Amino acid sequence: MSENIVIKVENLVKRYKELVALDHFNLEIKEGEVFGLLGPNGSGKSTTISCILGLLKYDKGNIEVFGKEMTPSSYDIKKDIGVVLQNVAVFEELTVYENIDYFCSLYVADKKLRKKYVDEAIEFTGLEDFVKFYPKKLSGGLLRRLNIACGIAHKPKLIFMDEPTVAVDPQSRNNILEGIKKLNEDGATVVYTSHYMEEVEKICTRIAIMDSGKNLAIGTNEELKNMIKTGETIQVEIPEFSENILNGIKELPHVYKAEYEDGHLKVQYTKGQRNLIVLLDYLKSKDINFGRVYSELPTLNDVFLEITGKELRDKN
Amino acid sequence: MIWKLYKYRVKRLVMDKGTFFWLIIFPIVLGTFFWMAFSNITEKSESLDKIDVAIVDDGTYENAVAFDEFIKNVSGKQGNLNTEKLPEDKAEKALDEGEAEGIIYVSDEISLKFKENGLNQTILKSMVDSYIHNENVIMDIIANSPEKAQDVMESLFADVAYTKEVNMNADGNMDVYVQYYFALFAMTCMLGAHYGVINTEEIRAGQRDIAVRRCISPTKRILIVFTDFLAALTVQMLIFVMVFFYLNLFLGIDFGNKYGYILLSGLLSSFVGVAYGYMLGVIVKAKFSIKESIVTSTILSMNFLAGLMVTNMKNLVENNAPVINRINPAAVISDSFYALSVFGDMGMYLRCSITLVAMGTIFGIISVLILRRDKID
Repeated sequence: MSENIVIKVENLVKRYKELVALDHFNLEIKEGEVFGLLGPNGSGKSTTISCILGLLKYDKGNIEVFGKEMTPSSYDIKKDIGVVLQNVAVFEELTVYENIDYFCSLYVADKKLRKKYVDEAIEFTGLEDFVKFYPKKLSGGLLRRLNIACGIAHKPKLIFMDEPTVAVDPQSRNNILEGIKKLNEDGATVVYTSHYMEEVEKICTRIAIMDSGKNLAIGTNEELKNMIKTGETIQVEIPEFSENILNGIKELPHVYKAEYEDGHLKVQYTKGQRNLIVLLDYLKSKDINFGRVYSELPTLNDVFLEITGKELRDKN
Repeated sequence: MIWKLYKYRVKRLVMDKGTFFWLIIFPIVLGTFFWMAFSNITEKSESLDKIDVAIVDDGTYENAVAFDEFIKNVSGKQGNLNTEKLPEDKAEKALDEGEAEGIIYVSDEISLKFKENGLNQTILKSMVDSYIHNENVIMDIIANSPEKAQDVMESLFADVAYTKEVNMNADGNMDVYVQYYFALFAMTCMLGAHYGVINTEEIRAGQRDIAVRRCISPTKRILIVFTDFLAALTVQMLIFVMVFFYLNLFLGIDFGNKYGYILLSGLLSSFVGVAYGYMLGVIVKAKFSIKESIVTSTILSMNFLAGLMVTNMKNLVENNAPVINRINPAAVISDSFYALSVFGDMGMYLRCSITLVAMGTIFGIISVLILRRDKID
C-alpha cells in the first residue's frame, strides 16, 4: 500500500449553533485504503464527508484532498471523486441508462469514452437487463446498484460511500460489498461510512471510530481490538455451581471478570493463550459437570462499547 | 456535454407528468371555459355599439336640460345608446320583454334599473355615473368658484368622451373579452415559475440528494444552472405554444396573424415566469411544497390584478395605483399581447418587451447572486 495521503483533515470544527458536530477532528486517509468511518447515528460521519466534499461550511480547520485545499470550486479535485449517497439520488424521469449517462456526463466530456464508462458501470453493477427501466420499476436492491453506478461510472480515484447498504436485502448487500472490494482492487481509495460493524470489519483496511464529533480511535481491525481490555470471552453451561469455584476461576491467569448466572458461567479474559484449556482443566479438577462451551473474540462493538460506554447502534 | 445536460433536463421536466400536466391543462381548461362563456355573451349582446335604453318621461324630463343634452351626445349614429322616451309602465314592459336593456329614471335624482347584469348594463351604469359625477363637480364649482366654471366645464367636456380614439389598425380581435385570454397567457407563462423552483431544488445541496450529486461534480455550477434554465424555458415555451394554438386553431379565437411577435412575447413571458420561480426558490427558505404554494398564490394574485378574474380590474389598478401595472409581470405580459393583437402599437409592444427582459434579468441576477454564495450552514 502506498503511503500517499489522499485526505488530510486537521482540527476540523463544525458547529450548528450550540451543538458541536465536529470537535477538532483529525483524519488521514492513505491511497489505496478502504477506510471505514464507524459511529452511531449523529456521531458526525456525514458532516465530516460533507465538509470534505466542500458542501458544508466549517468553523475551523483545514481539509486537503489529493494534497490540495478542498473548496467548492476545486473542479480539478472533484473530477477524481465519486460519491454514493445514503439515499438513492437519481432522476425518476430518466431510465437507468440515461441516469448513469447523465451523471457521467458531468465528469466526462468525451462522447466515446463516456459511452464506454457507462457500459462498464452497467456491467459492474449487473444492471444490463434493466437499462431501459425507470427507477420506480426497480426493486430496492437494484435501485441501490443504480445509485452506485451513478456515483462510480466516471472511474473516480476516491469514492465516498455513505451507508450504501441501508435497507438492502442480504444478497444485494453482499453484491455491494464485493463491488466495493473490486473497486478498491482496481485502484480506488474508498471511504466507507456505516454503523454496521460487520460490514466495516469485513471490507475496511483501516477504521476510525467516531462519537460526538470526535475521532476516538483509529487503526486496523486488529489494532482496535488490541486497544481494549477485553480479549476472549468464554461461556460454559454448568447446572450447579458454588461461590468457591467462582473465586478460584477469578484467580486463573488473564481472567479479569467472571460471573455465574442462570446456569451459565461467563469468563472474560484480557489477553493470553490457551485460556479455554486452562479453564476446562480447572473445572475437571474440581469435578464440575459442564455442558456446551462457547468462545468469542472481541468485536468492533466491544471496542466501541469499551471506548464510549454505549452500544454502537444506539442513537445519540 | 451541454447538449447532453440540456437534453436530459428537458426530459426530466417533461416527464414530471404531474407538473407538466397541471401547467398545460389548467390554462387549456380555463381558456375553454372563457370561450364557452364569452361565446354565449357575445351572441346575446349582438352589438356592443348600441344599447337599447328606455328613459322614463313622467312630465319632468323637459326640465332636465343638461341630462337631455348628455343623452343626445351619447345617442344617435355616433353614440353608444339607442334611447327612447316612454311612460314608466311602457318602459317597465320594454325591460320585461327585453326590448330595453335598462331604464333611466329622471326625476329629482337620476337612477337606473336593470333586469339582468351584463357588459351593456355595466357600460350604461358607467356612463350615467360619469354624468352624475360631472354634474356634481360643476354644481360645486358654480357654488364656490363661479369664475372657474367655464374652464372646468371645458375641461370636463374635453374628457367626456367615453372611448378614446386609438389606432386600431391591428388585424386581430377587437372583442372586449380578448383581455381575458391575454391575462390567461400571462398566467400560463408565469406558471413556468414552478419549473424555476424545481430547478433550484435540484441544484442546492441542502435541498435534495440529487443536488448533492450534481454539486460535487467538476462541472461548473453556473453551467448546470444555465442548462437547467434553458431546459425549463424550452418546456415552458412548449406549453405556451400548445395553449396558444389550442385557443387559436382549435377554438378559433382570433389573435391576429403576427405569429412571430406573439411567439416572441410568449418566449419573453416564459423567461420572466421561470426566472421568477428561480428567485423565489432561492429566497424562500421553506419546504418545497410551501414554495410551490407561494408561487401559485403570488402568480394568481398578479393575474387577478391583471384582469384574469374581474372585468376592468386592470383599468381600476391603472387609475388608482398605476405603478402596480408597471411592476406586475402579468399586467406587462397582458399589455404586450394587447399591443400586438388589439392596438397594433409596435411602440407599446417594444416597451413591454424591454420591460419583460428587464424583469427576467433582475430575477435571474438575484437568483445567481444567491446561488453563488450557496454553501450550507
